[in-house]
Amino acid sequence: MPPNKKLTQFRWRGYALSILLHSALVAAAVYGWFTWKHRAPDVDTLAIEGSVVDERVLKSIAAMPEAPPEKPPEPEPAPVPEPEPEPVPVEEQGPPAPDPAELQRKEEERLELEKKQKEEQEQKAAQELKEREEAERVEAEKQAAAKAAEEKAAKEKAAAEKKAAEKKKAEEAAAAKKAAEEKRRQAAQAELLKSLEAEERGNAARNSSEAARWKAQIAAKIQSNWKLPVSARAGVECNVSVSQIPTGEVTAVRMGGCNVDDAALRDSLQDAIYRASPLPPPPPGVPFERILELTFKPQ
Amino acid sequence: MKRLVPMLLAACAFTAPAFAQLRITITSGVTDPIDIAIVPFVRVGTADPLDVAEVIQRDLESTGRFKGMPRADMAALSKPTSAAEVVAAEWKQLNNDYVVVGRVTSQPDGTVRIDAELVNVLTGLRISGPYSIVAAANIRNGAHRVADALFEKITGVRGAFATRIAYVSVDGRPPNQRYELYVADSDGANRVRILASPLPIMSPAWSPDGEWLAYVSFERRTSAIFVQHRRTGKKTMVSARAGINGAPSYSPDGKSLLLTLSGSNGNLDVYLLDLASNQLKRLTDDPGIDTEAVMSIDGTVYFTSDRSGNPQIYRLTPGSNERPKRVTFTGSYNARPRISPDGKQLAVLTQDGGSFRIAVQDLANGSVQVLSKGNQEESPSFAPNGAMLIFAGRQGGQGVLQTISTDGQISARLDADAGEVREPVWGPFLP
Amino acid sequence: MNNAAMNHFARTTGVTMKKLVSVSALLATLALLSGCPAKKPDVPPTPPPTTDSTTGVQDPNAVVGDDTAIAGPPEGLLAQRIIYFDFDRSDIRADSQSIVAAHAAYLAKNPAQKVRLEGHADERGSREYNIGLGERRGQAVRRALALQGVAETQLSTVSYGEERPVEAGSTEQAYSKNRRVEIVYLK
Repeated sequence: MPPNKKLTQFRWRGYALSILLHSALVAAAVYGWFTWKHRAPDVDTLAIEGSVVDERVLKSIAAMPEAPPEKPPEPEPAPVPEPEPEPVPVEEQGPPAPDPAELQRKEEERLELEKKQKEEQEQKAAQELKEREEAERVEAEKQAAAKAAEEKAAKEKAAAEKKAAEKKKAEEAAAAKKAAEEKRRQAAQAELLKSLEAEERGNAARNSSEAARWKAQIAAKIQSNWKLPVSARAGVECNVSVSQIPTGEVTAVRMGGCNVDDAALRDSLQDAIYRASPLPPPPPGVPFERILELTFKPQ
Repeated sequence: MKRLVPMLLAACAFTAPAFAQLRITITSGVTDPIDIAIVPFVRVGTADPLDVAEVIQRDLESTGRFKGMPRADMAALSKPTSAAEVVAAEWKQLNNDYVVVGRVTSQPDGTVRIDAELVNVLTGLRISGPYSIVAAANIRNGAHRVADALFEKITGVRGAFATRIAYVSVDGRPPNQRYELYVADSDGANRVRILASPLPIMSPAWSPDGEWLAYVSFERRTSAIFVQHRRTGKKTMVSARAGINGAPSYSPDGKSLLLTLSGSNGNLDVYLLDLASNQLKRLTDDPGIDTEAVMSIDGTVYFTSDRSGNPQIYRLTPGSNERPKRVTFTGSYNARPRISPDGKQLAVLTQDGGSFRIAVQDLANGSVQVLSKGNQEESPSFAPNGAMLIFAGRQGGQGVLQTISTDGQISARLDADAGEVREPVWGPFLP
Repeated sequence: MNNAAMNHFARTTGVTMKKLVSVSALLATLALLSGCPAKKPDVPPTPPPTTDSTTGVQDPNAVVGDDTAIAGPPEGLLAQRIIYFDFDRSDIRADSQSIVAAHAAYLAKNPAQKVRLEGHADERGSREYNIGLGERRGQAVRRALALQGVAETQLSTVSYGEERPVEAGSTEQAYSKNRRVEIVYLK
């Protein structure tokens, strides 16, 4: 079987793998770029909620110390009670003779006064109670309003928080995604580097001084067998693939192409390689290479 | 973006197929000749004694690019007469690169057919030819044609073996010399005399079609320029003007002749003569000696002039008003210019040290290479393929003709004429 | 000689005075014609063409005159017909000035006498350039003669470059002998 065919098969596999890897890398790069470019935009707009609020409530709210929304609202200072209505001053009567009727009358008057006072007190108490209740009611209202406002603020705060949290979450998600991308990229790069390193190790074996010497030996033997044609001038460059078997015998020569169209030049290269066959074997420690890629570049 | 680029670069480094191979760069070779074994051709039905293989071998060797296997070394081997009979291994073992085999067959109509095949014994796979040449009367010419075909197949350069040369031969010792003009094969064989005179003959020049020779003859006591048909011998005087008539050379289209005239005041200048109308056009007007003009394929005229004191080569464009421009700057004496067929190289007679030698100058970059190694050399002339030069040298006090490859690799002497020979000119490719 | 002796001589040898005179004359003429010093073989008597550079190839009717070489005047300096030159030079050396002057004087006195000045060069260098050198030398002698009273119509030049050396060889001796102008007296 013509030796060239084997070479062809190998060559096609290698090319396929290479194309695949390249496509994967390029696709990853493009995807990551696209994602970064089209991340979700920042959430800037807030809905405005409105309600009628008592000025006093606002004032009290304004009087409230600036506190972080998480802290519970400070206890309200006790409401300043309304000044009690001054009791009607009881006129002091001088000690008149006590008339039993008069006394009784006086008693009755006293009792009535007392009753009246009591009534008044009761009234007052009731009034006070009422006022207290009123105050309390107002207070409660105030508190309720305050609480409402609090709650509203809290709600708003929560909403804002939520939005912020969402934003953060989105950002984090994006960041996480980005990080994941990055990780993937880095993973791919690490893979790449790993395979490169593997190749490097192979190359290291090849690029060791022993390997370099072997390459030089091959080059020298081919050089000493290359009978230069007229057209082998500086600037001319040709690539040739050579297949050899472990004895060094050349089994196939494939012209890769020259930067000039010259049949005599190509023939001279082929002749040179066959004339140099068998090629020098690799020294111990250097792996045998079946395929040699030669570049002819006369100076 | 910052991370993207190094990744891509890393990717690009990994461009080779995904298996390992070894990379080696070759930057030079050797100038060794190609080893070729030309097996004696078998003769079929012809008694012609010509050794075709030997003619081919000498032709190829004269170029410096081939080394023929000596016949003696072939003795133990089989003598194949066709490519199929060639056992590549046995020829390869004796360090040959190629083997040529063939036969010479006489035809019923009196012509002779030469068949030749070329085998590449290195690859064992490549066979070229057969080259079949039918030579009517001149088998030697047929052999040259086979050599041309082989040369071109292997080197890529057209062969110039089936061509003619002309030269001057001188008999007797001064002051009683006799002069003759000869035409011969490129290897000096088959010479034919076309003129004889007791007075000097000089400066032969071929017409581009190889049918005419122009030359200077003193047969009328003073110099005159003649053109003579090679085959019929018909001779025409084209310039016998007062004073000097010299240095004729044809334009590439064959319709004009460059020549040197002095008029009565003895000042040599270059003129262009239209052969059909006999109209003269003056090209130089200078008190110095202007002579030896030749025209390149692009119409540029190169000539010798000592207007700067010593002879140097100048160039001018006919019809242009520009002053001639100097071309040679190496050495104090450069004369007798000749241009290669592709117009790229200039051959001159140059003074190198104390000797007169042949040098070739690259017209593009001005680099000069002195090719020959003797003391008294002159009259270089390019082969029509530009690969060789023929020139006149001296050996043993005698004028001889020599060929040299234009890279100076090899020099060979023509030993066709035992006399004092000079002024060789190489004719064009023949149809 | 007295008549008797001559008659006796004539009777015995059959050679009369008349015959003697005619034979002597013949011999003398032959001696003259054999030409001494003979430098060149006789040349075919084709007249050189005179033609003007712009018209035609040549003027077949123009005749300069018979250019057969003759011996010319033999006396003293005039017997020296060769002027030598230095390498690549065409100026007349000091040691040749007197020769040129002598010929100039003679030719000026003999305006019907024509001379041809033949210029040569040594073998070094290119042939056609050496034609030019030889011509330059011939023109130099021509100018020198003309300046000293010789008419232009008496003078013609031709150059042989390196093609007709008098001495073979690649030595300085041969070179110096070949770099020359020869003054050839014409009939």
